[in-house]
Amino acid sequence: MGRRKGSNTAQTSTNSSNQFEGTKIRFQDADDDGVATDNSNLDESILAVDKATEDVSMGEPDVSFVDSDAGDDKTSADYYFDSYSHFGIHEEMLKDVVRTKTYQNVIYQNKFLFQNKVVLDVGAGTGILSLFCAKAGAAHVYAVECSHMADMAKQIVETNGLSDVITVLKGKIEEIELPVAKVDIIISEWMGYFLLFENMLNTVLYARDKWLFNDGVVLPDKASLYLTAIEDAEYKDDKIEFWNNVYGFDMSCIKKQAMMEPLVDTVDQNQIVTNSHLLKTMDISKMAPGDASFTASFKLVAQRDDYIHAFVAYFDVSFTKCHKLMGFSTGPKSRATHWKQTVLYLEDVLTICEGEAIVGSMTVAPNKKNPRDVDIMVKYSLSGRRCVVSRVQFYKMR
Amino acid sequence: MSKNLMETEETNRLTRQEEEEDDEDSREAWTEEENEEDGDENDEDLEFLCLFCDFKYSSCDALFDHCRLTHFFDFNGIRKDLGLDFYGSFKLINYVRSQVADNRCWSCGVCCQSKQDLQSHLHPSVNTKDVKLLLDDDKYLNPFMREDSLLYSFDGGEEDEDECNTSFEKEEIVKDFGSVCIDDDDTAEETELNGETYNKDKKTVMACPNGHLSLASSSKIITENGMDYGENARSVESDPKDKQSRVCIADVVEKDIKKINDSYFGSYSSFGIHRDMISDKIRTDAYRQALLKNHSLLNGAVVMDVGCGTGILSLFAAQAGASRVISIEASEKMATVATQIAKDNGLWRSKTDSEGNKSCTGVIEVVNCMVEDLDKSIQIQPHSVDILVSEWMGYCLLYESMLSSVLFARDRWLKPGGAILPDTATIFVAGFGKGGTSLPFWENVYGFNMSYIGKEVVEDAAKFPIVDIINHHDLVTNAAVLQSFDLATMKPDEVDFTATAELEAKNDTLDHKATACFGLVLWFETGFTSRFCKEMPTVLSTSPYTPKTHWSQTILTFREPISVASSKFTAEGSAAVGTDACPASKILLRISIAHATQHRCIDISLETAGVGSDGRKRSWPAQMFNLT
Repeated sequence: MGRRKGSNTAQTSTNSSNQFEGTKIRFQDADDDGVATDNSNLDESILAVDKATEDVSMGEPDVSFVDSDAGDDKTSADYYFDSYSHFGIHEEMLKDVVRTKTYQNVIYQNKFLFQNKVVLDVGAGTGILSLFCAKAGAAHVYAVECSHMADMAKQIVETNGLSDVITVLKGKIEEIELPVAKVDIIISEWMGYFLLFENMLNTVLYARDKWLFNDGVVLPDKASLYLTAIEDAEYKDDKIEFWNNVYGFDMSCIKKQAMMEPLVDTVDQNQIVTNSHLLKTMDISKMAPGDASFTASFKLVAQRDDYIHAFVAYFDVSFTKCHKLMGFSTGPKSRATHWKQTVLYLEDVLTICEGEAIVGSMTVAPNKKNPRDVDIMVKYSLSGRRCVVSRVQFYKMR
Repeated sequence: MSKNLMETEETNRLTRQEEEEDDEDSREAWTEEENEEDGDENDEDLEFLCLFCDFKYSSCDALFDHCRLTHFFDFNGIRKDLGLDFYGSFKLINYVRSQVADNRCWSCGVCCQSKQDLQSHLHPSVNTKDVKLLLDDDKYLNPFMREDSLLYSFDGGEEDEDECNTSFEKEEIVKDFGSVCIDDDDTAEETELNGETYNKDKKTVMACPNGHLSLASSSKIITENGMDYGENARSVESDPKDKQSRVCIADVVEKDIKKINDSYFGSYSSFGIHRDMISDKIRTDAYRQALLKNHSLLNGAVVMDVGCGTGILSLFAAQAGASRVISIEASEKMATVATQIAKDNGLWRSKTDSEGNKSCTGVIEVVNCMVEDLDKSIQIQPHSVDILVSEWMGYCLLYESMLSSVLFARDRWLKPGGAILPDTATIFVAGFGKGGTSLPFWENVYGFNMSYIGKEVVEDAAKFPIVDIINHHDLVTNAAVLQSFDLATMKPDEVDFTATAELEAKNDTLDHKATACFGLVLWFETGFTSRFCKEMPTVLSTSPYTPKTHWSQTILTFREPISVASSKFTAEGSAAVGTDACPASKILLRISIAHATQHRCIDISLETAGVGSDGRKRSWPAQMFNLT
């Protein structure tokens, strides 16, 4: 899944507090002066100081904090040096402990699922999931990867002495041929920002329909998308109102467009003003490809008097076929992942009183032109004591 | 300077936003405007240059017929064989152009002595499947040739079947119009193509063959860093509404190209990136200080801002008391933004003010053209400008640099003895250790050994420079000056250079242990020296020792690490210099930086030699880096 970061630098880069920097995953905190955190892509941003900050048990021990009060500087490597950022993405994802450890635990702690089974790893990348499966006793693992990483994965499999168990196949799922007619398990890490951005879900579904035994297992098999609302005055100022005053000059003509871009960023749980509403649950083992487009209504009830500046979307992923239910959440109340959350800023600031509800609906669909982009429409209204608003807003993840 | 890519995209958004604002006017009004507009642009002829020879054609079909019959290159046939989609076809054209530029046969890879030889060598392709693999490189998404109108005009092909290129754009436009009109509509369906909207927009596009033109120029924006030729006639004071609508169509079409880059290169498109450029405080503050804190220099001065982008430097100059600011911006979109911003801030100088008709408070005039073409747009007396300001620096100082444009402007318009800001530029070099690489990470990934990837990363980095932040703790040698430019006096042909430098192992550890130097870091400083900035000289540094900037540093990786140690290290007699047994105490460098044949890019050549503490010397094979 070498695409996630490369094509989403926009979102990543707008996170002005923390970000990943190329392959080296330098942690460069522009705002948080003096605190050096390294080798964790978990964003303990200034907003999330109270988050669990358990350190990653690998990676660079050196502290490479580059002090700066300069704004967030996306390294140009991401724009120009493809092969380089290519590795960088994998490093970033591997260093996402929530993600990788969950998969590792799912596999190592549920060996009964894997023993003597044939596994298909869709979008294998470095092959890490295949390696886990092989260690867990799979009879054979087919690791399919269409990018140049396939060659790396092959080499890695060899280096780790697992060539007899893992076969790396280079090519698109839709085009390759498997040496076997059916597989017992399909494993994949296909989730993108906002769950569906840049998504590989359809590829997984294609593989499922083509190769999975009727009683086969898809891992993960459940994904849910949630919506909540937050107070975010400070960041909205930083990111949107910025244009009103640039070194004393008015550049507000650029502002409106900024609103259209959902921001991938870490949200502190204390900012949450309302409940979370489950928008959509997808059963990966049963759903049809079209089910990824949907309209879902929501009702967000304020839990305190506050202002609301943005909606926040996040997702959970679960592996229900495990001995015990396993999975992870990318929500603001959970430990941060490289998916962070997706922030959708509102045109107006809503003044909401405890118990009042924002009702509305969200429509999500892949962009017609570029299916890897996601179009989002949110209709919402609030008729509260202090604020009456009804609006439709459009966003585009790109 | 490196900002321009982003800024261009910025403007896209801006103009789209303007569309939205405009949507109080009905959609019909829109369409009419478009129709009016096409009148004067209808008769523009597209010139399509043959992929192999110098023939030009007015249509793609004619061109491809020619290629098929004369050069055995069947574009549509190959696309069909390989099942190339729009992007694939786009790459195919760039691939072939790049091969032809090297006199190489696109199909069998044979290298010919000359273009003539190549033309007579060309043959029907035997196995086009092989070509598909070669195409599989995102670099071919970069237009190889400037203003390659072919790229934006070839038939949309298989994927779009009944729709050709125009409809490819059309669909996007419709989609966009859909969203533009959304505000009054409540349902999702409205964003979908509905028949009516479609037809209207179709009309718009049909009646606006300029869609192609705009596309061509927009691609330029991306590839040439904003060198949008546009029509100079589109002067900024024309009716703003008309202007807006023009921009819009071009803009919408431009999105297709942008998409290519979005999907493959990572997005240039975020407003956030642009915000980050401006809020690169190190950069902006240096200019701000130079302009605002040198009153005697700025007061009443005529200032020229080359490549003004959002116009932030011009705004500073105006604020500092300049009597006139000529802001030159090649990208039409960016020029529009800069104009709007100057107006919004009451600093716009209306051109009609000379007749005394309009009130004029500001001093800034934005000229949308390349510096080289400035004379065509505006009359400026030669040698009449007091201060030339520009933020022209690119990665590694010279990548995508506008330096030659700045020098052009200097030689033509700057008064003798006039100020150039900044007036010095210096490139530095130092060696970095293992911590500057990602090797340690790959050695143990969840218990698995993935060092193969680390190896691969290094191999890659030995050919392509990496732009990234290096921590100064990871430097293992001193820093040395590689090259200095005096912008007030240098000649335009001195931009390309060869220089030498000598690095010594850092002497800061007591035990004098050997440490591996994995490669070199390059960075630059530009000076606003006391020569012109008498009251407040300033330096803008992109060094690893100073707060980071959006330029980061540029990293050149050795093919193999060179072991270095201070001269106090006692080496074993016979071992090769640069090994752990006999580390080098000095590294001698000879580095050339020159503009590559492919525009925008620079080639860096690096010759390295190590000198042991006993004086023995060892040279490594030269390395070539291409910053593309």
